[in-house]
Amino acid sequence: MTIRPTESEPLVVAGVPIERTFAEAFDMKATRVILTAHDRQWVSESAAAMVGFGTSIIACGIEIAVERELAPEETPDGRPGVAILAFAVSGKELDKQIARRAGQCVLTCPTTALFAGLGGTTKVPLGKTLRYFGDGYQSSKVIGGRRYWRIPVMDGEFLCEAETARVDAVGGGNFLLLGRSLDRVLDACRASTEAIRPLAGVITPFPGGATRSGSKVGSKYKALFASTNEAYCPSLHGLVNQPFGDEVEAIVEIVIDGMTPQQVAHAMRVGIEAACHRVGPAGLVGVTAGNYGGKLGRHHFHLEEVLG
Amino acid sequence: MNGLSLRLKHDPGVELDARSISSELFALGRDEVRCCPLKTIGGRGMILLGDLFDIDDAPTQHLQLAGDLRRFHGIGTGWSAGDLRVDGPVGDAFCSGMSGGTATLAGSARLRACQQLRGGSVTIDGNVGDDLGAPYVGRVSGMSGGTVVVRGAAGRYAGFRMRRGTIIILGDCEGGLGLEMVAGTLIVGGSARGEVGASMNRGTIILGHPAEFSEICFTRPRECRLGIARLIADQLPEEAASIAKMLRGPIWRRLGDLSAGGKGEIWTGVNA
Repeated sequence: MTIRPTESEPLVVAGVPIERTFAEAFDMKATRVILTAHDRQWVSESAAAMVGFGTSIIACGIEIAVERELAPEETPDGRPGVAILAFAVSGKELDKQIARRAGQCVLTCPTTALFAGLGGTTKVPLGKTLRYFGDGYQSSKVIGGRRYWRIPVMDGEFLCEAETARVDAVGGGNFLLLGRSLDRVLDACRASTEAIRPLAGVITPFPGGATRSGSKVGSKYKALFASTNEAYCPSLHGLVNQPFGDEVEAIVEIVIDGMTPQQVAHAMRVGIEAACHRVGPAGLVGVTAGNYGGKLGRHHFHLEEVLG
Repeated sequence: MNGLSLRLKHDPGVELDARSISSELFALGRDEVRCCPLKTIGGRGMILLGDLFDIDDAPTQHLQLAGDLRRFHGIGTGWSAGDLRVDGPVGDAFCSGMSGGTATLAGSARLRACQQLRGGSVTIDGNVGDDLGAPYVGRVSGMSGGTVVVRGAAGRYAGFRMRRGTIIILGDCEGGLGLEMVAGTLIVGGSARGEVGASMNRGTIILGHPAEFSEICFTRPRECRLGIARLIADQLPEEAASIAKMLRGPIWRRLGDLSAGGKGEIWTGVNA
């Protein structure tokens, strides 16, 4: 183990060393929508489409994932549903992405309906823009102070709340699992994401909740503003400076977006503890976090504080 | 002054324009309230509020009236904030042009109750006369927001030209329900006599009992389940439980009025 301790007291969870470093996260804009459908299959199909290609703002414009499944008694129209959280760097980008995804992935899917999942004064349009698809046959109702649009479609009508709200949020909370083997780090990764999944207010937007392509800012190629973080690529061991030894065979990064810094910190703790307890020091060489020296993101999640 | 209680001392003997009994009284001092004039209708006289009512304090932003107020017309006109409660019957144009706050009438109202309502919530325990939620004379559209619940019956032309908002009538309705309705939601728990939704343009009429429809003015009924119906059901008062139950199941939907080029809809619980 060559993770460099910065304090004399070693930080350890279930025998796995934790580096005294911090995850650097950013201010983002977030929203929540509630998607429902006739049955769980159509909820899943539509949600999968809506959150597809929503892993990173670097090229997707938005980070979006299912927050949790909702039972019929938890949804506005009494049908099965999901809560979806979406994060973007600006309100304008969030508005654009949500409208596009709602139009192409929810409106198009049989039996679905879409509702606001947040209250607030700053709005993100949903049915407010989609209503024009109704070509004059759309109609609206104000119920309990909230406006809903009804758009006639081939299986009946698409019900869509006019707007949801957006709030300030945090994107880019993270930790890296340094594994002794690919199998073990994947096992630890699964334990992490399974533990984080039930938590309210957070998502892990990458496939399976994890990414293998942790990036650094910039590139030798001028067109790119992010590129592979060679310091964390075990296959380049010996070629570039790396903060770990050759016992590390594979690394995965769990990236967490959350509605509040507290929720991100809690999810990081839950995820790290789950991974460490699942595979222990026989599976993980250590846990660290990604940052840019603290100069880019306002939110610094120090692992010793997160786990404290 | 924060709140007011007005108890009628005696019958005024004449019909009175009572539009000054409104939320604007909250801004007046006790003496100013006593000297507030009520004009007689059809005459040139006026009676001071203090001559007709015992005036007392009430909780903040509450105006409470008690007595037989059938000769008082326009009570609650332009009501914008706070709670209005009336114990006893009132005259015409109750809560006319109201824009906010709440009003509760433990009694019946005569003609044109809630005409040109713009917002707020009105509950009437008794019956209402003709033209509930209708426009002011000469206006193209009527009620444009807010919610009205009538626990009793309604006269003719309920929801005449209503444009937004919700009217819930738990009792029966006379003819002309939803006549020339522009939009909004009109719910009737009892029977609706005569033709329903004539010349309606948009909006939704929800009927708890079968009614009379012109076959050439409305489409044939189609059975459907609508998500919006479930949302409406969840907002209905407890007394409308039978309508709520109907809305949670399949409903029968007609579109029209075709003769007026309308895209309105009428929902019923049975194909009748």
